[in-house]
Amino acid sequence: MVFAVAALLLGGCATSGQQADPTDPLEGLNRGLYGFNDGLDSALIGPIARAYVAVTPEPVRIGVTNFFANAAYPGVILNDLLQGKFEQAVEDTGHFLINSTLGIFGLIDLATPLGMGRHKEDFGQTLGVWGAGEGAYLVLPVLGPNSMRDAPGIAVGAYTDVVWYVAESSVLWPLLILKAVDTRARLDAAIKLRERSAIDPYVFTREAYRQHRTHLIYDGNPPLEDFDELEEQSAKLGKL
Amino acid sequence: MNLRLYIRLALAIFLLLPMSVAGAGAGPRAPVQALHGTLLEVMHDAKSLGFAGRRERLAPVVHQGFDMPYITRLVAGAHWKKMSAEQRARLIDIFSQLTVATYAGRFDRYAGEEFAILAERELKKGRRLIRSRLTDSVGKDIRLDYVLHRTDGGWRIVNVVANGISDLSLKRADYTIVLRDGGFGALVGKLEKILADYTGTINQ
Repeated sequence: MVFAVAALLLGGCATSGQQADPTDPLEGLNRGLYGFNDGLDSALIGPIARAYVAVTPEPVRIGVTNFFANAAYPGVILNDLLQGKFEQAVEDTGHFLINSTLGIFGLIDLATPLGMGRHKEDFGQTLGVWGAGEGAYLVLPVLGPNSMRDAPGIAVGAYTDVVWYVAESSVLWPLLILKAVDTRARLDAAIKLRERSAIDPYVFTREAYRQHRTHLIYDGNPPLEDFDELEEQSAKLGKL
Repeated sequence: MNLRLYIRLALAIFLLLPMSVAGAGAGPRAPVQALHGTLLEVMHDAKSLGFAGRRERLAPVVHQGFDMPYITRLVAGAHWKKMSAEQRARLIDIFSQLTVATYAGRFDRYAGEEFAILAERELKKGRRLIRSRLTDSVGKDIRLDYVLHRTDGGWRIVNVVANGISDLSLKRADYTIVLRDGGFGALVGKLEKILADYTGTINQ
């Protein structure tokens, strides 16, 4: 596995074009991995996700989404606390307890209609709140867009996700696969939009990822782009 | 004498007041509400309208509600200055068509979606931010924030930010690389292809 990844990274090196974006120093490698992920998605993960959507009734799919969201909720609570959002941590604890019990292992989201909103917090956001910059953009094999700042959050996320504590591997693996299929199915609309409207899907994904992460770090109120600066840039002659 | 003058003045002010309000044009919410209303309409009638019908219905709303020349200029960034007047007009035209086609392609069914305007905020230089939300049938929210500015023709949308993803910066990043590497011809070629794909695949 490690060799396969190394080979991919090298492959990415070989196919890299000219470097342009200073915030994407690994663009060559990233593009290689992006291509690999894209191939994997068109050949395998995408068709599986579409088949899943086709054969599974919507209420069941919503239950599956709810279940995985709830199982990951201890991570949300932990990061609430790390970010100093104590009231939100209390609310999210209530959310987790209600949905895990009355909501039957999280399959039904009873807490949100009760006014305990669904929050999105993870360790990458916590690092962002603490002031860490995004660091280099990363494309991870299979997992896709990420960054130096967000990547450590994958481990934190796994440690605080109930699913990963399932000891029986004959249950764990199907669950993890279902989680991946659910995630991919939810991304389908965004991926279709990208397929249709992006000229350079790699750049499109990178920018969308960065902006969405900033949006999450600022809890939905990120600073808006500076239109005055944008106007200025369009008013001066570009350097080529 | 004086009293009569006052009454006349008061009457004049009273009569002119609504006119001056109307003269100021519709508020910044108007283009957003028009867009949302029309999107709901085309979603309701998505099947009978088809892609072409939805596009036809949306085109005037997008053309009136968005400041397309301004958006195109910002998306082109530093490359704008180098374009001739014809090239700029061509880019504005194709960019407007793309915006309409994207809406017509994306809003192709109705499953109980609802739009709600949440708040309005003043930005620098008189720009306005309108926060809104699109809730789908399962109660999942998409945050849609609109940045508007005032033109001679009234308020116009200059950016749409969906769940924090700014359409303007996304396109700017995507398109300026093509402009840098292949110039104006390459960008127009790519955009025409995207437009043709939209029309082609969705019409089937």
